[in-house]
Amino acid sequence: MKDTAGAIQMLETFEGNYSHMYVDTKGYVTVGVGFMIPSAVAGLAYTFYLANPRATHLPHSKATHPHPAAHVRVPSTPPTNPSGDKANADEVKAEWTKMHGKPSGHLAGWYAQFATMYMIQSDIDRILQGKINGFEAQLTSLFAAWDDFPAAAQLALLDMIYNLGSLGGFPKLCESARYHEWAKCAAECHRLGPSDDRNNATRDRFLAAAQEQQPLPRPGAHHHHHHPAQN
Amino acid sequence: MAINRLRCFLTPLIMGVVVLVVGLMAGHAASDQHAVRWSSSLGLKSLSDIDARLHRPFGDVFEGKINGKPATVSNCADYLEDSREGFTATGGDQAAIVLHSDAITCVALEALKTARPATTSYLGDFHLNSSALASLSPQLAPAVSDEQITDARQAAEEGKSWQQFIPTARAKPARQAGALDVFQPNWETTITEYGRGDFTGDGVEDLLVRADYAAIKGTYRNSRLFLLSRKSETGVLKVVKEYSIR
Repeated sequence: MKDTAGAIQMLETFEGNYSHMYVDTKGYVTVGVGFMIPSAVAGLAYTFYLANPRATHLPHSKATHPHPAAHVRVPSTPPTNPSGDKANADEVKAEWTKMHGKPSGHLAGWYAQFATMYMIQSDIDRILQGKINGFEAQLTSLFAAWDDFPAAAQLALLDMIYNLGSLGGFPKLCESARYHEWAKCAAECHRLGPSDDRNNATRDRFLAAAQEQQPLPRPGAHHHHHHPAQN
Repeated sequence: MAINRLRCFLTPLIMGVVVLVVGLMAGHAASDQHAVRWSSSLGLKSLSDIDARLHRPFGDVFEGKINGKPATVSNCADYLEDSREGFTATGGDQAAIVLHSDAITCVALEALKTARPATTSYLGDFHLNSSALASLSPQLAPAVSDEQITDARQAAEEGKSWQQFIPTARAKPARQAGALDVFQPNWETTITEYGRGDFTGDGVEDLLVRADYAAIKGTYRNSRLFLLSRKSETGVLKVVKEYSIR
């Protein structure tokens, strides 16, 4: 990526950035920048910190007193530094199971009232960077000239594949991108579902790329009256 | 003798109570041949409850703007009114996706208000079971681009089912009753039956379904609302209407 910082900022803006687990509209437990956690065990791939120090279990109080952290509200905005104990495997799995049992269809912040642990921003950014690297590898295999693409075009394509998981629904756009036809990409990039703000931002990035880089001639382009490369 | 008389008196009474209770549990109105029916997931006791249901709080307050001015939406009644005036949610895609998901229910409730008992039904014994893909329109399959919408529409015009359109798609009943989970590469879709009745005024029973889409390898989530029907008991259920949800 030519603009890694821009990529992180873009994805955090559109996907949200939550330090606690929440449930998305499809019922999947999620954390960070749209990181889906498909199972309790999958939650162990993430480092969580308890919002409160771990309770000391006294023999006579264990059964009658709830865990103090059950009453702590975890902020949606990720803290930058850990302030609690690192959650152990059982605690993370229990948090996932609890969240998985909550109803879907609420704003992510609504689930903060049930959260007892959180991720810190540096860990979220590190995982996000890893996901960006993974998607960039896919984009590199899709587009031989990926490294030559303008930064704005790279950001637009990254936003699409991070969101969709694949560019398989956009064969025309992929073909246009191979020929650096960024104005055509701008016309072909509309996703059914995401907000107008997100779609418009993607379109505008392709338009910015069109200002920066001329299209390549397509094979047989001389048969066309107005190929962009000839303008 | 006395016991027999008591039995004669009680049996019809008990049967009547049973019929009444079963009718209410199934969620359908009146005693017509093809009465309007609806899913328990809509939270309705009767069709006359719809207006009260529309005013029930979402549990979240969505902030947004109407023509540049701040506005909030906290229930279906707000949404239906404000969306007509151009309400757009602020707060990023997560808020927009959650509101859109709620909005599907709101529009379904409003549609249900217009439903009437059907005089004819070709739905037969159709249910959202593991073989339902052979009877569902390809237009219910996940689509994120205009190209995919066009491809699905063309397949529908050719009379294809979702199963014929996406041969790798597999389905199984979802955890919640009256819903179907459909799996195909990168996609998980849940189809939920919301109601049955005549929604178009042609006397034929229609099926109102909600579709929730998730890209497994990505963060994409979307929901759509369809009205389906058919003109024979064995054909593919065609999309009569896709409701526009802002």
